[in-house]
Amino acid sequence: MFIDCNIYYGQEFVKENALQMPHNKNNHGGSESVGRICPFCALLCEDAVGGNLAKLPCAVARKGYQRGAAVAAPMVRGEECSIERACREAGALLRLARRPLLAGLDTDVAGVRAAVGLAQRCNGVLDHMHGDAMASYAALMREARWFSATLAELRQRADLLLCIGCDFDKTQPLLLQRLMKSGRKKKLMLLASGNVPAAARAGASSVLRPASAPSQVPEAIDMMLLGLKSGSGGKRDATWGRHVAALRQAEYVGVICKVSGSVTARLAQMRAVMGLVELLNEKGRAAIYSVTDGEGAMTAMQVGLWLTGFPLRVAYDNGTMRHDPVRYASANLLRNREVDAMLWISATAGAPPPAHPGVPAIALSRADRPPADGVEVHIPVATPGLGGSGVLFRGDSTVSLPLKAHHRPLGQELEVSQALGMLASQLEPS
Amino acid sequence: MIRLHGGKVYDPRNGIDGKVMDLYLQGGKIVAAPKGARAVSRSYDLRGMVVMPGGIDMHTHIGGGKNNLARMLLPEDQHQHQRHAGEHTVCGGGKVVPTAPACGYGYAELGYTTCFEPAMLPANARHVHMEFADIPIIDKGAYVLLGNDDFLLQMLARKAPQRQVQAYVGWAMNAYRAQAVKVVNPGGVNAFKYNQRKMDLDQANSNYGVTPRQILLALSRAVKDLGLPHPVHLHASNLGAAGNLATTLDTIGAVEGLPLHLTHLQFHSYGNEGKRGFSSGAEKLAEVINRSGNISTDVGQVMFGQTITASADTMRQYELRQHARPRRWLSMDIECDAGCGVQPTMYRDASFVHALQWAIGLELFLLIDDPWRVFLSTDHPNGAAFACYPQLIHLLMDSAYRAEALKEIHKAAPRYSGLAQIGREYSLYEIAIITRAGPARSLGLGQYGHLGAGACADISVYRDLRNRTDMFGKPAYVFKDGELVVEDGDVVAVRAGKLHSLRPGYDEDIVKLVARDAYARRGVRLANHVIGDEASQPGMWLSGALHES
Repeated sequence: MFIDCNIYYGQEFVKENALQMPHNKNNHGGSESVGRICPFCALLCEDAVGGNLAKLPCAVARKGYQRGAAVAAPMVRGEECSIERACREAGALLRLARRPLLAGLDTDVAGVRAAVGLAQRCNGVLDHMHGDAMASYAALMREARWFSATLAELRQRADLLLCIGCDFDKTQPLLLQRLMKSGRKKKLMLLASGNVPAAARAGASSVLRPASAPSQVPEAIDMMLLGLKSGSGGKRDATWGRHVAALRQAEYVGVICKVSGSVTARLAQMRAVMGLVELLNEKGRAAIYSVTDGEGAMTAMQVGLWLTGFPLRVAYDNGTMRHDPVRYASANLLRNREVDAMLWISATAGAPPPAHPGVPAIALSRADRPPADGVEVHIPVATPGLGGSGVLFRGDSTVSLPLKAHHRPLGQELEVSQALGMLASQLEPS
Repeated sequence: MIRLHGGKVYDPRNGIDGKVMDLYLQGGKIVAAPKGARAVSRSYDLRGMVVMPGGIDMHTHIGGGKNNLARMLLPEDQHQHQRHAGEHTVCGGGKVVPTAPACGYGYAELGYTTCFEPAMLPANARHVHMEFADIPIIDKGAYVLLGNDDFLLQMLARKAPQRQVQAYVGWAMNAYRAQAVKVVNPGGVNAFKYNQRKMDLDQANSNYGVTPRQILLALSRAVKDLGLPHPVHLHASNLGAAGNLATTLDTIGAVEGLPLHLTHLQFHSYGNEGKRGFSSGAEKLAEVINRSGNISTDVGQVMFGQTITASADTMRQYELRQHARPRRWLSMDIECDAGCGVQPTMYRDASFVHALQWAIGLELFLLIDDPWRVFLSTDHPNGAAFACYPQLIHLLMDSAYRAEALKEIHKAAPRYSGLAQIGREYSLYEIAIITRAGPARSLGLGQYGHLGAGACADISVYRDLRNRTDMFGKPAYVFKDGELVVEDGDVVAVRAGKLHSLRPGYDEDIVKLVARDAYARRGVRLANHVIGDEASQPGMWLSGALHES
């Protein structure tokens, strides 16, 4: 009735034996028409692009898919050269460095793997361009009351979405639409959450807006907590009473949040949100969907965790490893000149590296974006889902999706993992 | 050809109990003795040593999102158990939730060569497989988690024909590249999302009206009719609750004689006697299992020390959250599949409950007569880290050692358990069954868990020491696919290992239904949801960035 299948990593080997009977030759749904996955925010929407860029419903995708002037040539100190020469120069820079920083890490699973491997070989430090947010996220999870839910879960289950934050519609523009698209009919309750797309609004059974400015958010959460705790629902204030009653009546509250401000302010707000969710879970159900950054932040965090044990900010030193979420922040390392070279990776956003006075930099950057100023070596790389393939994690941490190459290389660009492999081969003593 | 000369061989599948004999390895397999000695290129002198097939852990949480959540929650484990890079190994660490590379090294260094992740959520399957690719040396496999997914519950609610359930299970095995089917608190994790806080066997899910009994029966039939060798791998209802013995006994009855595997049984064997309302139900349960040939089990032994529990059973994890030490916990509702609850736990011998849990686990090992139906596990890391296996084997093999250990635990605990009265000691042959031959047979791994000609040459060799902790903690040699990978307890070579998965045939009409559901519910087309070869690309430690090919 079945075949016993051993897969060797990198190649498949199907073993035949006497037990075997006819099995399904199809690929279990893998052959239907493929929805193209957009890599430009942590939501990884399918069908983000049709033929016409201008018709895309998402500003982040429009910007991401906009093809730049194809400057696909590798460069060393501003001069075009072959990819081999660029990797040779970059390898030499890393070989000479005592403590290089591998930062940005805006890449796919294979790219992060290769970066971790490379960091071990060159005594590097690893950090992501959204490392501060990742460090806060990790710290909050250790506070004993983190209830979260993934995208499909909230879509299916929630009957009230409490949206907290001023700009998550800019971070994951289609989030609300996707949450409202199917599943239960939902109420929307907005705390300073900027523009709500008409499509999302149209799907809501009602829209409440208890607070409209970010500065009002902490107080609004306090009022809700107070109302829920007192049981009387804030009788002195009929409006708040109504909001609290809506929370209390909801069977499943999805809290969509993207907090802003200083690290301290963000942590304080998230703690208040977590307190609210914990309280709601005493009698009903509620969970947080944290609107995380794109640029491969969740991918770097997940792969980093299984390979290093930590959410990055890890430093290697001759076969040992240390983690420090503050000390190994890129900005600190560059400011204090604790690193003497930087390898910057930004394959989807093509973001320029941070200021790095006195620290020579190598940039592995999106092939159709102009090379950053002031880098010693520029190596164009393919973007997963455009010129390259790769797996990315969605912002809710559980789901990862395969992205396939959708056009041929523009020039000499490689996938990040390939480029890092070439670079690593330069580290061997000749 | 390699010759392993003069070892005492324990190969229960072939009925070999400590016979001194030679083994020959060639092309990754065990082969018959050659005609002439010239064929042997290398010979190992194993006189006085114990030779067994490579260990098979059929229940160990080694991959997936919950492990990353656990690493995030307990960074102390990484800081305290750092492992420096060696000639063949990369640095990394953790004892309770080791990094992927450290997990492979750690298992190989105990003589284990194959491990199964028992809780692969469909939505998280790609992550599990990618993490597997970064676990070196050992073979890996996973059980796909069903039974709390809205798709199945909806199917049962509308009384879909059993053949459709079977097709779905068959499809899921293929699509997620699984070796078996796991069910966690059937329907309970889903019910928690609808704010139900407890689930008994005949209690209906408030949304779907389906009971755990119906779910269990439907899945057990499907697994049997698909011809899968391993039955439903069940984490039963009411885990960790005092008095849950009654639920577990009911569950055994619920499958109506169909094969069933009860996992981490220790957590489901509690009576409610005594002034603390917590006692051992092991004797009663073992008695029922002894006469129920359709039941197999692994124990989920608790060992003392810091660990972390990570489980899809959010309903029970939430209920037990106040026991977290250090006081951290988190809970996730996941993608209409199931959930995940994680919390650190410090098992203390001075705690009545923990001491009794420890005793109950040992009782189960010692009171279940048939070693082919009970497998060694700590439910790593939920009962303890896999690094504790040598000590656990020692406890099973040495009643004097056990008696000493009993003196150290909470004084009242032995009164509520029969452990002190049990004199049984496991033999090496029986250890080889519960750690090798038994799991291989149960999972249908025909070429593993034995040492006959044609078997895969996964072999562990131990020095025959009286102190079994020392013996099983440091193998003299470990061979993986015929290659020496561990010598004197240290990794000496690294290789990829394989993925084990089974691909049952199924009625393809189901694909249309799951495709529609994936798009409507998950917002993802099936083509992007189903696991493809992108998930089994070579891992980090194999890539050119780390080792020259």
